Amino acid sequence: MTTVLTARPNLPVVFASGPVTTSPAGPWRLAWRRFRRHRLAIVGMVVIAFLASASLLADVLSPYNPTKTNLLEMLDAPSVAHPMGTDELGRDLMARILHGGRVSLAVGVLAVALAVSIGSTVGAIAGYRGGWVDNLLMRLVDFMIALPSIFVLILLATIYGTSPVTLVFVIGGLRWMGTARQVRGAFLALREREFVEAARCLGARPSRIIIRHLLPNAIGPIIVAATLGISGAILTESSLSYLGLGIQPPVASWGNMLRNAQDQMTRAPWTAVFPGLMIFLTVLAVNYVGDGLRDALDPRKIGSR
Amino acid sequence: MVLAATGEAASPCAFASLMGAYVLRRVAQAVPLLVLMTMVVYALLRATPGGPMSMYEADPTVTAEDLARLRAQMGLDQPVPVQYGRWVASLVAGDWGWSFVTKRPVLEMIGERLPNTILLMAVTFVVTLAIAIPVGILSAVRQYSWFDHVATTVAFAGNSLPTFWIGLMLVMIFAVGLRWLPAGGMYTLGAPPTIGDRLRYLILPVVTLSLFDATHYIRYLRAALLDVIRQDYVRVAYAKGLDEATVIRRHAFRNAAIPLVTAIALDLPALFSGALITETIFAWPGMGRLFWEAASRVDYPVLMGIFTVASSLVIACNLLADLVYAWLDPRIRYG
Amino acid sequence: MTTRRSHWHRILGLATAIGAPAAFLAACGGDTPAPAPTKPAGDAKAEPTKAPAAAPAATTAPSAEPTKAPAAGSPGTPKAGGTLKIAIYQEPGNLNPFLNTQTVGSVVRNTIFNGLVRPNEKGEYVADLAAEVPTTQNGGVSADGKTVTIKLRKGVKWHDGKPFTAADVKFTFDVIMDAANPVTSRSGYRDIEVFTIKDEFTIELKFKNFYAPFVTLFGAILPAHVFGGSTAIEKSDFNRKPVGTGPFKFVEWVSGDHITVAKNPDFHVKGKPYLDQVIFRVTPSREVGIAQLKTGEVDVVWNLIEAQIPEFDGNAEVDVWAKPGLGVERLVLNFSSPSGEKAGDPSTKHPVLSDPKVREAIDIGINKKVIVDKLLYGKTTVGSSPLSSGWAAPKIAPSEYAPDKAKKLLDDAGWKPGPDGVRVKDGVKAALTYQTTSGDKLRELAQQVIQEQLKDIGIALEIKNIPSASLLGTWGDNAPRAKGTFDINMWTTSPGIDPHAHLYIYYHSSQIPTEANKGEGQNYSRLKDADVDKALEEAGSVPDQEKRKAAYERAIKAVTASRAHIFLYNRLDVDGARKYVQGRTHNPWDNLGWDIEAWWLSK
Repeated sequence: MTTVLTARPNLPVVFASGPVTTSPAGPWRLAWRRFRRHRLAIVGMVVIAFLASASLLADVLSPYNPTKTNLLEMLDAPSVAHPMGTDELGRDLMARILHGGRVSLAVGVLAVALAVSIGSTVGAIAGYRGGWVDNLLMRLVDFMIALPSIFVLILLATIYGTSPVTLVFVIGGLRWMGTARQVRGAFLALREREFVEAARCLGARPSRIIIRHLLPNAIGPIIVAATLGISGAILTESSLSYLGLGIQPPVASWGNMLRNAQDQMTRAPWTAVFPGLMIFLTVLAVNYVGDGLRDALDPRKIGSR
Repeated sequence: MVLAATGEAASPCAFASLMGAYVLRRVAQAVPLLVLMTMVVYALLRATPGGPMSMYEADPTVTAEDLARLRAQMGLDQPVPVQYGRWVASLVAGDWGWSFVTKRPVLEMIGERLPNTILLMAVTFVVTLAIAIPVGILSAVRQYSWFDHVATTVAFAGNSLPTFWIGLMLVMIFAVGLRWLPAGGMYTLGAPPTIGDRLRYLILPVVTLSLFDATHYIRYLRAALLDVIRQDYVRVAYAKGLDEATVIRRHAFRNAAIPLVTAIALDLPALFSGALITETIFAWPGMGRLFWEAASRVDYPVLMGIFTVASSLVIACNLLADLVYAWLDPRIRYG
Repeated sequence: MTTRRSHWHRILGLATAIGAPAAFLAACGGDTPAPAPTKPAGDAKAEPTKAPAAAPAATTAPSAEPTKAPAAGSPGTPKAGGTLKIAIYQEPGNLNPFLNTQTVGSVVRNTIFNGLVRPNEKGEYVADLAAEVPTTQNGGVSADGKTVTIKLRKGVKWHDGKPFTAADVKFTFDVIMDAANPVTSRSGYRDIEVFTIKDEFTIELKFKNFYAPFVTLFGAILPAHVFGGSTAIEKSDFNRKPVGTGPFKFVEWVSGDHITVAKNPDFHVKGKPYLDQVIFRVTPSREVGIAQLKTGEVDVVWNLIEAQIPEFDGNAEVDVWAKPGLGVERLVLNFSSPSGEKAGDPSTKHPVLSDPKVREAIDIGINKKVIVDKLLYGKTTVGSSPLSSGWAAPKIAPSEYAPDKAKKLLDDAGWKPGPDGVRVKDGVKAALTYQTTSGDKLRELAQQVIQEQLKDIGIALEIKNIPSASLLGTWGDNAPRAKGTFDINMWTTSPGIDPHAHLYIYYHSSQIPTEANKGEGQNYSRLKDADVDKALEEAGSVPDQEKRKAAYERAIKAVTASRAHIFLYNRLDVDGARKYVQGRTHNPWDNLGWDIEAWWLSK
């Protein structure tokens, strides 16, 4: 468990090898070509697209209200009326899976988006400015890393409650340090390069240099880390659910559905199988996509075959 | 990140003195970090609604007068900064405080749980590496072979289910269903201790944790090895006519191990803070559960103790990781 | 955290010795007669016998035990020997009876300690370390009720062999009153003006004022000699290695794992206990305990929740012990303003819940029957009163589920449905937060059902659960309940044998926690009802039990009419055990293991 909940600090690693021009069509097209070759990553993309659109279309796909209880149909096995069966309050499991997907996916994606935004900003400023700013920000990163994250996660969830929004902030706020270190490392290496020097001589403002010149060159590893981070965030949400600190009822998330299935696994295995399968498929798919992206966006891999 | 074959460090003596200064500086940096950490955690703890007095709520004989007295006896009637100051002062004097609930020294309570956690995590660690290293190497050497595909898939799958789910399933199948293994605990109660008995109780939690952890190291090692294998000196080694096993062992693995070792060092703190969820599922009396129990009873002294130990370990292991990294890769300078 | 009943909580009662003889009927008997012992206790070896290693595989054979123990009398003759393993899902903080109020602490201490008097399964006080229960009839209680003389049982030995005497009781009193000790409560003890040792086996207590529940004092005794006369107990080793007079002796405590106690061969009830050893296995949750009960790693699981009963349907090896307890699960409605500077001040009004029509609509808008039938599998009954059983329990019919009437009530009171279906009156939305302890599945399920039922009548509930330490905290902890910063709470509480203290602190207007009284009392609803106050005061002052009962009934009827608490269902005491565990009697007034000396194994 520790591994899911522990922010894994990455070493400063310098990725990009060559400058990316302001017209990035070339490298992106190359990357896409490389990505396409990773068949499982493509499958993963399809799975994610499928799950995401199914969740978005939940209301269309399932006629049931996910929070509508029906105590006369508690723990019904899968049938034509309820393709995935019903749960311990007689609610349609498929409706809950679909609606729960919105929550689980949204929490995963948004938490990572938050983490990447914080991480890139901190890393970019530290790496570009250097000096005392860098020092200060890196001490902040050290500080965040020194916090035993699972313990802090539990404390924060206790204090601020467990609505989807707070979960996004809590999970995202504890997972950005790796990105910050990566981006800083990349920037430290890049900022002395000729094309940056050139931009600086031409009088470009720092923000412009960072956004137009440096970030595009460091974006590969950020995207890879972000993708893989999504699976971590989804698992974290489900782990918090296990401890009773996940999304509050009656809102469904895959994590709290799985936790609730605990008591009735022998009597109603379907209540456990479907949410488990959803988490499994999503995380697996995300991991494959991340793997494919790594192959595609990490220029070191060029010529690896 | 191109890692050259390990060359000679400038001079052992200069290296040592440089390193000494570096370590000193890092330790000096760590102290304010720790102080800040304890302050933030203390503030966080005190921001949680409720508090240690809630343990008396079910008891109608505990009157407001009793509660006021108990608060004063626990020092909770003082302003929070004063309480924090007292806590730090006694910590510096070597007193980690006494639990509100057990009325025992915090350090003693941590000391009881730490060996259990270390045992579980150490065995997990060994098993994890025993799986990850050969699989990682084979995966890299035979990139895109069927073995690589199977290993990658299994590794991904193991990483795609919540740990608690894997743990619960293992208990359902192997303990409740088949009754091959015990559902939880560290040893058979009331029976003479034997190594075999201890091992039986270790199997399920270790499998649960290793299944998850091995994945990370397999992927780490595979990526690092793939990187190294492409380097010129490995090609040169092949060209010299060395067989593959030798090349991998002598050249490639040694260099690929650098990021792996660093990653391991960074994961070390987890060995001490325990695996909360796995410990909960398998009734393993470790640090994670101590934290969870203390958190649910709002036992401030114990919580602060655990945070301090855990954070110190994270800081120490980060330092260790950097040192190992520098030692393995002499191009890093202590700037 | 469902039934947070401490030993004290259960036995506490304002048992007026003068006027409530019912509680003292069995006063002179001492213990219930024990079945003929199969083995003289004196012959038992002092050291615990080694328990056979419990190989899980050995327990897979279906139990041959055909019948189920009905009550105290068990099938067959009790058999001595064996190790019993009990799963407890919480770990006691310590085993000092005066430093710990956890129910689980009481469960473990039941094996180790004795008090002077204790309640039996019928709610009667019986002598334990006292030779008899003091009453006015036997001369133990003076005419004015202020002087109580207690004769002690002779020939009782501490686990280390030293004799138990009046000096130990006096020492216990001194410990409790030592200002330096963080004892959990001095209630009652601080009313003792003079404690006199009349002789080695007689003590006399002179109370400043008449203290009705005196019989509940000294529920455990500490051995003076172990402390060498020092009353400073806070940091004593004793808290973790207790010495008592109970049926079992403390052996070892491995933190987070188990606590072992072994047979006390010198126990004062001859021929008991039957078991050689009891091991309490600490599990992190009830679910883990259930898994271990199924595999046979433990023999008993303490304190399950009602919803877990079906887990054992068709299990030939396990009995579920489910008996009506005293706890009543309830909604607690806040009458005062939940926010702002004067939050929780009884002079303020809750924007929604201060309207009695809204409260009534909530009550009749909840289908409690369906919750009992479906979520609790029909194992219990719908709640209607804070007292579900006992001599003072009034017969009150539960309110009927009438959603249409609820809607009409709200319509008539001016709460009109808004565009989103939630009712509005004068710009105030009938939207409330609904809190209970987080991580409790049964409560979460009940919440969702109630949330939906109330949504149908136009009242929106938002579930915002927090950990029990936060929800159930005290005034000093700024807990929402104490401070009045909540809309609706849900939890269980249970009365003692004598319900007075319970009813008084929850419903009397003087018991509203405020700044002025430093948070004294548990009238969390901020109920101010003159009828309730008057009836409770009367019940507390008349000695005649019938009159008291009538007064309590009036008070309870006024409380139910006010809907300060809406009673949902009466809780069960549920424990699970493998079928070979025999001899146990359910006692709603005490915790599991109160009669541990009578337990035996038929395997």
